[in-house]
Amino acid sequence: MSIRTALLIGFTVAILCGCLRKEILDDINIESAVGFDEAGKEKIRGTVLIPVYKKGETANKTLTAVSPTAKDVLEELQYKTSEPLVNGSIETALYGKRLAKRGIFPFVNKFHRDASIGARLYLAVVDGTAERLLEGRYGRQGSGIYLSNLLKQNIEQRDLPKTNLHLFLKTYYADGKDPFLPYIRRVGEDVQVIGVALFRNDRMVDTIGRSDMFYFKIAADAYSEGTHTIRLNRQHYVSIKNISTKRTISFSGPKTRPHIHVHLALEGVVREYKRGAFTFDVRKSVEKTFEQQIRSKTAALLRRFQEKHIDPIGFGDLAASRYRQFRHRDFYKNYSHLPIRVTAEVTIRDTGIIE
Amino acid sequence: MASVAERLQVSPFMTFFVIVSMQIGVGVLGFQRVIAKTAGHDAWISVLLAGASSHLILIVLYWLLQQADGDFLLLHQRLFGRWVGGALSSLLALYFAAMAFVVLRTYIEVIQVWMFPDLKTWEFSLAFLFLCLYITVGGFRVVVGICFFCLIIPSYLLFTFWFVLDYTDFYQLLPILDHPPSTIVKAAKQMTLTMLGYETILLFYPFIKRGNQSAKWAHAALLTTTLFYALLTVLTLAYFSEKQLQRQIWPTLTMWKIVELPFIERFEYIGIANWLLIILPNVCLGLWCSSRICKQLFPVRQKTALLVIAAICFFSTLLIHDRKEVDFVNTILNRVGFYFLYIWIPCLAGITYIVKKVRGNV
Repeated sequence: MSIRTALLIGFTVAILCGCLRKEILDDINIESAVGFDEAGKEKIRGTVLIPVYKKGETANKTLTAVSPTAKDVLEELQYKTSEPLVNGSIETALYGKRLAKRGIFPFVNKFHRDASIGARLYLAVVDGTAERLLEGRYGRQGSGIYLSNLLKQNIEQRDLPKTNLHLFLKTYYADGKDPFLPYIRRVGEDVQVIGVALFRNDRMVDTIGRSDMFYFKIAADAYSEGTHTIRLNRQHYVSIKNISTKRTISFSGPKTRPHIHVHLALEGVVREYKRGAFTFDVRKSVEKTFEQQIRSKTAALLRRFQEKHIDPIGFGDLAASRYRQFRHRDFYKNYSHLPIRVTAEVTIRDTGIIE
Repeated sequence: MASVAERLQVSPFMTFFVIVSMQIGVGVLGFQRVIAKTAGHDAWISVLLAGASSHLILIVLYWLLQQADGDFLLLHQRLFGRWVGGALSSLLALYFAAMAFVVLRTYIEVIQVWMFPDLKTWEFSLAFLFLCLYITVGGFRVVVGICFFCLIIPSYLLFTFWFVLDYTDFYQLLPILDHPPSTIVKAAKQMTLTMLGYETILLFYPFIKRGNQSAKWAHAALLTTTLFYALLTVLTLAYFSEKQLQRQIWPTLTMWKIVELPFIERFEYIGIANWLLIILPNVCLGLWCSSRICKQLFPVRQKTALLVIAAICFFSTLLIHDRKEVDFVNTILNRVGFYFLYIWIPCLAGITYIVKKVRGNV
């Protein structure tokens, strides 16, 4: 009997446990993207994007608030809505260029701490202000989905190296690697990826343009699936779809000032070649030209990183895995003078379904 | 041989499930940070080391059980007399009860931080302990059944670590053995809490048919958990950068944040909810062991003892309010478990050996 009474009490308690705060989809505002901008000294402007679901299409609503840096600007926004803001499905966080130059860590750490934010959250730096970008109307599914799809597509199939919240934090905390983020811009009613923003700690210090992104991706990410067009001579171009990339970085010499050798092996197929048959000779010359371009462009990029004293490739961490008792500080003391040699090897495997 | 009716016993291979499900508890959610703080990227070696040492301790446990004809409490009494032996055994009862309580409170904290910030500790604690009581009152065979299912059902969670592989840099584990051996051993010591659980064999041994045949299953269980922990540690070390890992309280849960399935946006909620099944055998077996000792020591029925112990556990969970205190009780339990297994058990074996030499029998 006593057991039965006990069970009854247990049952009641079990039911009572359901009495927690509910979040019914129709009664909340789901943030799909957020943006942070600098708003004068010591002030931050925060913008959230909320999709408004209507029949047939999705409209967007943006809310903006300004608050002192130390205070949570997104909390401030709660005063402006009739329904509570919920941040569990933010897919993109944007940072204005001026804020990025000042340091974005406080506004990233906020997401790091929050249990309801996924590690695949995309971060990006906006040329201009995040607020203006978020105010635009893109795509039929709502701007939030548009933005995350834009970045996803460019990472998976184009030349944007893999980035997200987890990778940003991983490289931010790493001693031997610096973070980078996509650099985007609003162009009329579209958003374009215009390059990669490079960071030292949490401050943006440099950007890479679109023409160099391919070379950056093969050096930084070791995998690229983009199509790349190279110029053979004055009038002739050939488009090559990259199938696989293998990056080998080796070190030799003392651990405080090692010689670095970057070897990039690419395999690709011809996408477009307008001038006659793609013969063996043409293939050889395309491979040669491509190799030569990879060598010079990648070497130029790496030299630029050394001059700016940033390490987005992660040479420091790679060296740390090759040398015992490695000290990052000694390595970076000499970083800008380290000799880096780049070699490339391109293999064109197929010519499509025609010869 | 301690007298337990055959209808209450389980087959030897069930030892495997009982030990694995008892070992895997809340420790798995966050042990990586602690050992990586000490041994850096060599922490996985510490896990293997801790596993190897627990195999040795398990051999000693079985030897002790054989000396005492399967009844560990009897050993205490024969060696130290009725009062001192009884006192030692009741400390052991307290230890198992503490284990149930610490596991439960740590799990409640995880729910509060990750899922429901406004969940009251007492609500969950009460409901969960009633469930545990219901199971434990059914006797040891029911507890073993729960151990079995609560290992099989959540085992699919292993596959989720597949998603993590996309974001791992295994070069971060190199160079191997870059840390001094002393720190690796120290990290192995910190692994104790996560490894704890196999000492329950001391109490449920009489409930196994042909008890001496269970040794190989117990060792298989230890090997399984050790390999699982080592694998998880390797993944964690490759997934996070070193300083980033130090910021995570529950690295295993944070790793789940990267999992994305077409029909599930955020996997850690499924993971945490499923973790309840992993906690369940921990608490049930803890309560059972504790009440079993009480039954043998004092003139009480096991059910009464169970109710009292569960009540104590319940009120103890209410005393812990924040992260710091949860961390504190975990550290204490870790230390007690370490001293019990690695200091007290070898000492006891030494004493038993000497007494056996002198008296001829124990």
